[in-house]
Amino acid sequence: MLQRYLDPAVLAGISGLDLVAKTVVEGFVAGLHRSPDFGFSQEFAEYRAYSPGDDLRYVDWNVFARTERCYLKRYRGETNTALTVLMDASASMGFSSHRISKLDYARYLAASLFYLAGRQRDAAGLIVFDDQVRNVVAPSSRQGQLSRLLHALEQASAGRRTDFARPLLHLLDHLRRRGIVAVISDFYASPEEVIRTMAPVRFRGSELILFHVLDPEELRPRFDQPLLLVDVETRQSLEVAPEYARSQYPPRIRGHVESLRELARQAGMDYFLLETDRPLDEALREYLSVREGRL
Amino acid sequence: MGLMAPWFLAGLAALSLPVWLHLLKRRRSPPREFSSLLLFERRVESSLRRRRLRYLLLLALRCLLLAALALAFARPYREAAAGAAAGRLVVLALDESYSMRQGDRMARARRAAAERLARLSAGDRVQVVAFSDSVRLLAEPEPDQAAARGAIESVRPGDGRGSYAELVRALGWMARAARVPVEAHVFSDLQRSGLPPSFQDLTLPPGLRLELHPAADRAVENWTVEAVRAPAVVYGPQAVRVEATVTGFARRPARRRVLLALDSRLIESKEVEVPAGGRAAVEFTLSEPGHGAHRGEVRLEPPDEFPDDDRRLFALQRADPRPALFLHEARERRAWLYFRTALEASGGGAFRLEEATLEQAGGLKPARYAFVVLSDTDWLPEGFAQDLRAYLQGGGSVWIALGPAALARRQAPLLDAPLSALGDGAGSLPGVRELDRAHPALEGTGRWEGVKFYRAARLEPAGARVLARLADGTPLLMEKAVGAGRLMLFASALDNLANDFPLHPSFVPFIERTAAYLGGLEQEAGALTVGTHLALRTAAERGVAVEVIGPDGRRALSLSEAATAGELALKQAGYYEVRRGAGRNRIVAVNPDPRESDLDLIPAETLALWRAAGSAEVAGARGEGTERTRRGLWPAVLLIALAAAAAESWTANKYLAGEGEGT
Repeated sequence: MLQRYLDPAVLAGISGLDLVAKTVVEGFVAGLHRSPDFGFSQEFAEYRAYSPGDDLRYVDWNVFARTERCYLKRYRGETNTALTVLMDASASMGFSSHRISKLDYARYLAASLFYLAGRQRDAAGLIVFDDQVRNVVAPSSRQGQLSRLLHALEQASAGRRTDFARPLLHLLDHLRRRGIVAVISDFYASPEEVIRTMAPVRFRGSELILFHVLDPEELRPRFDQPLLLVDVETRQSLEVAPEYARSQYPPRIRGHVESLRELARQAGMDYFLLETDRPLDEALREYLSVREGRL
Repeated sequence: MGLMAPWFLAGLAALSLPVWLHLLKRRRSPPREFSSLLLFERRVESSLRRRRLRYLLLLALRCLLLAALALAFARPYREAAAGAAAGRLVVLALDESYSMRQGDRMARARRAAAERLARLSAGDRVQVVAFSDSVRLLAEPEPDQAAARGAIESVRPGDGRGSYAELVRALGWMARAARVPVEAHVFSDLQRSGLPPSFQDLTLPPGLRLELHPAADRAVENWTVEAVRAPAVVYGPQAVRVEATVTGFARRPARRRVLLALDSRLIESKEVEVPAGGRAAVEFTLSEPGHGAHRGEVRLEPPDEFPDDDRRLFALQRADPRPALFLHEARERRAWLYFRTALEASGGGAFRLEEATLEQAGGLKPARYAFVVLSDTDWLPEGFAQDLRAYLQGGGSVWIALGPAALARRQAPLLDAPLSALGDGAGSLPGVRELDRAHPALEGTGRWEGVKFYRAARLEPAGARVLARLADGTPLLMEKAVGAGRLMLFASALDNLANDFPLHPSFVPFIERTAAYLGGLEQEAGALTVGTHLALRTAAERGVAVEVIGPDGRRALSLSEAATAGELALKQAGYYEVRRGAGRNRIVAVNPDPRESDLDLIPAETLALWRAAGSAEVAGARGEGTERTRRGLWPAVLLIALAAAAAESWTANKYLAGEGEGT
């Protein structure tokens, strides 16, 4: 029943990103089955043999007393990571064929991720960019970080053109520890260029998730008549016939998605396509899956 | 398939307009913002192709509309076998002109018409007409062949002149009134002289097919008396000269005997040599014909192949000269001398001049005279003046010449208009500049060159027609209608003091013509031609009954016509007797048009050209047995144009609606 609160159309009626994020995550969590892969308390995770250099605070002395061997006891809550969201706020993200624009959807997604990360005491940071880095909130797990992140998301608006290079350079400059980097964008660029630009993040040991946000109209355009399409970023125009939009364009966008997915897989990145009329839970599930894999 | 007005196809040039509009005025699609065009190919032709396709449909409809309009104006037609054309009108036109009297032409024409009548298809309506200089409808258009056959049998050759232009004109309005295909069959001797001067008059109307059935197969040599010149009226005991012109329509010279007969009595005969295709003149002298009307005739012997035209009739009447009054001042007789001498010198003898002074005028009755001349009179006895006004109102003629006496009193008799004197007699006035030489009084009087006027009156009565002017614009000779009469006004005197006109040769014909005009002689003609009109009464004879006995001895006018008709159309050749009462009878001879005597046939190439002017050309080219008719396709083409216009409107509306939604 709570799943319906994950519907973007429902979320659009909720004012305040904090409430949106809370609604999404709580709804999402409530729907989860308890499983050994997922948990959010200070539960035991594993024992690991002590190796020189390990923090002695984590040695399980009870085990040592019984076995005279040093083991380190690890809890899930102690496996914190850092989540950095790179949110594309270019002009193309402002496109919408229904109530939710791609930028709104990206905001909901980022807010939900931040809320989820907060519950797990993960540090979270945000870089908003278009062809420039427009806002940066450094990753942190301090009190009040969620509010700063949500405020930064509120401030984000559709800007100009997209350039992945600049935010990535900024990210690399500030990426001190390995973590999870989530890139939320419509990725209107060459897949090779996107992957080539993102690859250094992966080289630094961070997990990279590409959330590809697209409007249903972008996947399956429907025109009744020839239209003069104007690119919101470049202001270039092109006259497009309905037949072309119905028959030739869909294979091209699918090819673009598949190419991006395949190149991301080859580069060890995770890729997830999100349509703005679909619930957010799948994206959260993807995040948790990646996070679990990282631990 | 063919086009009746192919020049309208020039309207196809208008097709360039929609092409230009569609090439240069293409509308743009409505703009719409999209996130990225990265994945759209720059293959504009894919969209333009559709747009052009839709535009091409609109363009094609517009071009079709314009082309159909141009084609409809070009009046396309389709040829079909005549048998398939149900409901057509078949016109059988028989020539009844004078030349059809030659040989068996009329019988051949009737026979051919009857044969054509027997071959009519079911559903055809037939109309029989006879034509010469006019067209007579002998039977209403109906399928009844018996009535048509009777009409054909009733046609007899007349005395009129054949006119193919009249026939084509009549066929034109019949075709317009019929509203069905019309097929005209002309049964005629196809005489060359029946062709109009302009071939344009033979152009057949659309929807009419013409077929010619010759009733003569060769040109016949013929000799005829083309003209007889003899005075219509002779006055007094004098010999009369009769001139006849004999014309040969033959390629060989011939010697012919020419006979003059008067009242069926042979007067004289002469031999004459008529050159090939030429004319010869013969002159006879009639010694003092008796009083009354005579029927004259000049004929040729022996008769040729067309004996009907070997004679020409004329009428001759001997009458007493009519009195005319010359009134002048007692002290001045120069004008009388010149006027009398000029009138006697003209040789007509139609008038017997009576001289009177103003003092003698009181006892005269103007009604006795053919005309009255007032020569330089500045006053008139009161009783005579009243009689003269009544005479004028009743149709009499008065000639006023203004001399020194009238100039001195600045007033002309019978006229209320003031006058002024022009010239002092010492020097001459400007010469004559304008002469209305078409007027009967000035016809053949020359240009009055060298005539000097020393004194003249300047006046221009209201309503007067100026017949002659001096170079300074002063009216010199005027005519004014007063009631039913004529008033001639000469602004100078008839002597040699106010001008030197009496000393010039043109003075004599001027006096003669003016006297004849005022005396009413110009209306009398001894011989007329069939097809012309005979004037029955003048304005003065408005209430007088006129009875006309035709050549067949019957009255040519009904009772009402006898009382009111102004003229009579002469349809028959022969002698007409015109009776005006009080013994004033007159004989008028009427002859056929001499052009009917030329039996030369229309050349074959001219006939082919005539057929080509209509729809018979194709039928001729496809053989005698194949009869074809034309059916106009323009209504169907017009329907196509209307459909194209409707489809164009619908398509354009749909397109515009799409444009509105897109924006």
